[in-house]
Amino acid sequence: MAAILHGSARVTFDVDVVYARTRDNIECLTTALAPHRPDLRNAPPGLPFAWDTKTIRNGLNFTLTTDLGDIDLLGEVAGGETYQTLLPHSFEVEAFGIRFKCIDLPTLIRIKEAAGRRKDQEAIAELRVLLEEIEKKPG
Amino acid sequence: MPDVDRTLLRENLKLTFEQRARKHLRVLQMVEELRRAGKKLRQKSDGR
Repeated sequence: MAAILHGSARVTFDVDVVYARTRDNIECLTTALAPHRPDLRNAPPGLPFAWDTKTIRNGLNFTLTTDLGDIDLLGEVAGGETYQTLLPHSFEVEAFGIRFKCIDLPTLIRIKEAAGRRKDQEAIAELRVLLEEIEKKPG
Repeated sequence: MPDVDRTLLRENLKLTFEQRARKHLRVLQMVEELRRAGKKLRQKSDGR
């Protein structure tokens, strides 16, 4: 989604959310998503999964399906970055009547490069071009 | 370096954040509709 907000023309089918692993935030996250039936994506059928604060505290990154769509909850991303380390590299967006943080484009590129996934190569190329276009614009 | 269509990006850069997100949502809705149509077509050709 960050790529979309920055102007990417590529389609994405999930939302990546880096979350703060504080006790309060984990409780908020659990409560907020509970009504939307979160479950592990691509898990073997019948694998028990309890959506609660204990599960989030004992884990780190979760690839979920929900009634809202696919959501990746990330306690840490490539390069060992966390919510706290990414916060200075983010800005506030207001859309759909809510405010949320989005990482800046150079940081998004850096994280994708650090992940080193082959499937991201084309996305990274597009993001680099986006950055060029943005830096060309006056003001 | 893979080819990147700058014209698409320049169009998106004219939009607000919310406009970009809404545009993407419309694309996703279209994708979903095409998937449904494709599935229906396959079911028809399978005789279901």
